Amino acid sequence: MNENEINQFLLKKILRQLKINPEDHEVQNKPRNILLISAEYLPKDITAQALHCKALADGLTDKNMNVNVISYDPWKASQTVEMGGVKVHYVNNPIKTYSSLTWALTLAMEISRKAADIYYKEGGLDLIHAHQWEMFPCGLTLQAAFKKPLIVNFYSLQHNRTPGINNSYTDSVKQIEWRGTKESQKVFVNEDWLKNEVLKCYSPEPQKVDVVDSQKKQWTQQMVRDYKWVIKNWGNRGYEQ
Amino acid sequence: MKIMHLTWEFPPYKVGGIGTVIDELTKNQLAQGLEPVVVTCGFEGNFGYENRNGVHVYRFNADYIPAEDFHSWALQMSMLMQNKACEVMREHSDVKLIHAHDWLVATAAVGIKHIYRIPMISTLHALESGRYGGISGDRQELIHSLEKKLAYESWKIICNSEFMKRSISYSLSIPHDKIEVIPNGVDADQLKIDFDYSKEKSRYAMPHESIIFYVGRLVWEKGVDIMVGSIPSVLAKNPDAKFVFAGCGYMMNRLKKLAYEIGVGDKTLFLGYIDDDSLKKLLHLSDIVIVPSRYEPFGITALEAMACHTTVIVADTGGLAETVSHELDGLKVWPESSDSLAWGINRLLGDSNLVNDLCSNAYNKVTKGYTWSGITEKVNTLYNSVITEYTDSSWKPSGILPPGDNTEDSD
Repeated sequence: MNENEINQFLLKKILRQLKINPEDHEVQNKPRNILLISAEYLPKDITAQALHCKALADGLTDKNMNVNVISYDPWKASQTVEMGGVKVHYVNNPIKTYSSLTWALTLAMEISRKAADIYYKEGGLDLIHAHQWEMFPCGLTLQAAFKKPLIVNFYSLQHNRTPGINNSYTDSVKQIEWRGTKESQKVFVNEDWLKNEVLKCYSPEPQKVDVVDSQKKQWTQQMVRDYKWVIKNWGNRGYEQ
Repeated sequence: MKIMHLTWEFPPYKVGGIGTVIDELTKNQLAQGLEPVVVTCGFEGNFGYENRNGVHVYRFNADYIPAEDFHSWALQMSMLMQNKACEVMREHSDVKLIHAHDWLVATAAVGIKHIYRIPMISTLHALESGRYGGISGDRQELIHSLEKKLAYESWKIICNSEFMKRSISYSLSIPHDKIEVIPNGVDADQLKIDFDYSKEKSRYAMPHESIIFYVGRLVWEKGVDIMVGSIPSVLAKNPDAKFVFAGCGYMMNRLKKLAYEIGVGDKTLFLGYIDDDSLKKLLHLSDIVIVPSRYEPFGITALEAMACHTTVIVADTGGLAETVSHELDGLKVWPESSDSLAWGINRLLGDSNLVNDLCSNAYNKVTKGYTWSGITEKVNTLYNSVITEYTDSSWKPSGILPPGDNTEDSD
């Protein structure tokens, strides 16, 4: 027996004494494949969203999660850059678009392609986390295809970005935000007021929306807890933790 | 073998000719042992699953898609289609190939292809650069680049004429060997209809008048204004001619005005949209069917008229130039020339022997060379060659299975 086999043997013995099924333990503690999709990411963008995503990816990697990020950068398209254990994949949008809506809907093609590459390379995905409405269409598709949970993250709402303006464009974006809220397993926001706005505009179950403030200590631990809960309860629409 | 068709248009919803083409193709694929699965839009509350004579049809709710224009509507529709297709793939995880129809479904087709790593082929029924005689403006740029992306991502591209093959290759920078020409077909039996000839004719013209018929959209690329321009020269020699136009389009009022301005308003009849039965009857009772297009990838109307024993005059352009053989099964006239078209109409109205010969040859041509079963065989052969190439390729996933095949591995 080599050292690794001895450790495995001892671990199984301890688990048996604690009446924990070794297979359950292995499943619960295996590194998770997390996919973050965000149009903005450091160092290209220095925005609240980019800072939050970077901190999240780093924090999750520290907690033994396997994190892949897909982001938009036409100058680095097709490259994969490893930053402190996080693999950041860049895509471009080859379609000539004329609005952020048409841009987001066509970029989804490239993100799907890259996500599929990651899926086949990593041997599957456990959770998809889509940041801001531009990424929701793609997140919803990946959720439907891979049958894995989706978390959506709001940094602002169309209702607040264009207050009082109601036209077809804002209706389209609001519908995407609504679908993201409705069909995801969890909704994250970074401030309490935004949670209230989400509840007011799209009426999800209040327990479904969590405020995650990256300024607070130990916030990534809460994220990991939420991730594990979402993965465990995938398909179960109860939000009591 | 299961094939997934992605199309925004499928009966009972028809906008152009794509819906009819896919309907015929899937029916014949089923008869030839394939299992077609269609994912398409559902309107007016008609969504969900439908078994359409053996063809699996899945419709998603496209009733309320807020959009500032048709382009952003199409992209949102395609997003919903992709989600629906992912759901359908759970039920039909053994789909072997995706068949995408036109740019409207490009984002869905490309996404599905990569997620499931199955080959995708596309049919390009027309090109944006052809519809408007070039690309200008951001809306056209969007469609053009989506067509380019769809063509680039397709394993093979089907088009319906050599003209389209050249256009796709030139306009989208696609190599010729990636493009397969498979024409559209026509079902002559379906066009047969019993009706009271004189009663039906009285709805459109006097008993002694000859009906010169046009059917299609009243838009610039269809060249209907060229046909209106030919009327005075025709009436000068054949005063008993009556020009009947069926179809709608943004040029309707302009064409009516033009007809009155050149003094032939009383010899024209604009019907607007007509139902299928009225169309069949008109194709049978017309003396000549005109297809005066400036741009025509294929020109199914010419084939339908030929299948109804009616003579056709077509502009010598696009796919029409390949479908019709001049003075053998129809007449070809110079495109964009009212004078040339008037010459053709006068020639046929004055020579009934020639008309009979052309009609007989045209009917034989259509019923032998353009049957849906023969066309479906060609499409199926293409499917098989693509699947063989795919099976031998390194792109096919070898380790982890595509989603749908291993979805029970969740914790």
